[in-house]
Amino acid sequence: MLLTQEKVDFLKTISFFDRLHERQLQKLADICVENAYGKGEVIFQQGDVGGILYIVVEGQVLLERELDRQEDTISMSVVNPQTSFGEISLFYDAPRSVTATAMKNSKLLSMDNDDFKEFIRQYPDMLMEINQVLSQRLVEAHDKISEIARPHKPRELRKLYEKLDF
Amino acid sequence: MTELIMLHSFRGGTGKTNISANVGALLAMSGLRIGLIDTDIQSPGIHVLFNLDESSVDKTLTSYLWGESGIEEAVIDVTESLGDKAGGKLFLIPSSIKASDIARILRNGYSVTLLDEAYQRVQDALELDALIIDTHPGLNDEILLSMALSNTLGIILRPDQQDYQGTSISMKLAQNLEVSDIVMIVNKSPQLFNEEMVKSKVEEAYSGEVAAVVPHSDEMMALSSAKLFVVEYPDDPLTGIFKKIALRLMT
Repeated sequence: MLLTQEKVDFLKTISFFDRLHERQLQKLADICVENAYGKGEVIFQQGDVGGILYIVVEGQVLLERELDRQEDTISMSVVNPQTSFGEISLFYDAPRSVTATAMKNSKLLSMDNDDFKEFIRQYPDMLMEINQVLSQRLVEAHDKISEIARPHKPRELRKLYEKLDF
Repeated sequence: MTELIMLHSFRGGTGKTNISANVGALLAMSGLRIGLIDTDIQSPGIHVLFNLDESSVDKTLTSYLWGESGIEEAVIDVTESLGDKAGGKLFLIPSSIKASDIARILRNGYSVTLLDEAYQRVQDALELDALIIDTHPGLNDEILLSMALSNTLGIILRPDQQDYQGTSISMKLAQNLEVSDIVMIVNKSPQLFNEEMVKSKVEEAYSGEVAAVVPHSDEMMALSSAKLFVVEYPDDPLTGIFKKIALRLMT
């Protein structure tokens, strides 16, 4: 189990929080709960009720989205230590958009949304940092959409495949 | 002009890589400048015939396709493996044999159209008389692209019903892609079979030319791809057959 000071030291390394003072980090550490997940263990499922933000302390977490009607999943991202996931549920009250699974034995810090929102109300400057992370996630999602939507074969190959239509 | 020769088989285990390497070696021994490129990115193998392993291969076709090196950096001069019999030059462009690179290719793919540029650049940079493309068996994007770019296509098959069916597919594809020169090479023909009969049967079945029927050889099997047959057995009748194939592919 992490001591409060260890949580504070860890939170300092997260870009979200690196402008917070020691006292503010102390308060943040108080609302953080430590969780451990074994390799392959599901942290939350797509469609679950949200409401908790996670930060990876150790290990690795895979975020996957199930595809409609295909009984298949697409890997959205791999979350490494010092990175958060589940921020969307802070501002958007909707079911989880992905399934999160521990790829290795992982240690996470979790924050209940209500507690975190209360914290943000006291330190509203933090919203800018959170906005930055959410914007980054949006750009990554656009990249992913472009990757999926692009033609599967380059033009030169498509022309060759057309010739094979026996 | 450089001859772009693709050696292909619909099914695996036909001896395609051994034929590619031995034909390349014979052409280099006859005084030509020859390139051998291993486009079997998922299961490369031709480097073994030149005694190369993971530690002796740095830049590869794979690293070029990922934009991590130039294709010229992947060229290895393997003329020495021909002993003192080489009048020309033999260059190998291997694919990566690192498990992590193969896994990365399978996971992320690569831009297959870069192959076209790779062929062009090695032909020009090495002033090649011929570039021999050793491919993965079956059909995929790089095979289709290479087939469309080739001047000569050698389809290798064994006298086996599964190979016969696969060869008809390869032949049909090559014809649709308007490959100008297509020949078949029947390899590993059992000693019991009459070679002329096999040749005429295959030519009749596919309405195409058979460059040679290569009999099964215990000496070749015993080499177990560790050495070049034509270098080890220069006077063996099988080397004579490889010479015939090499000559046909260059004309």
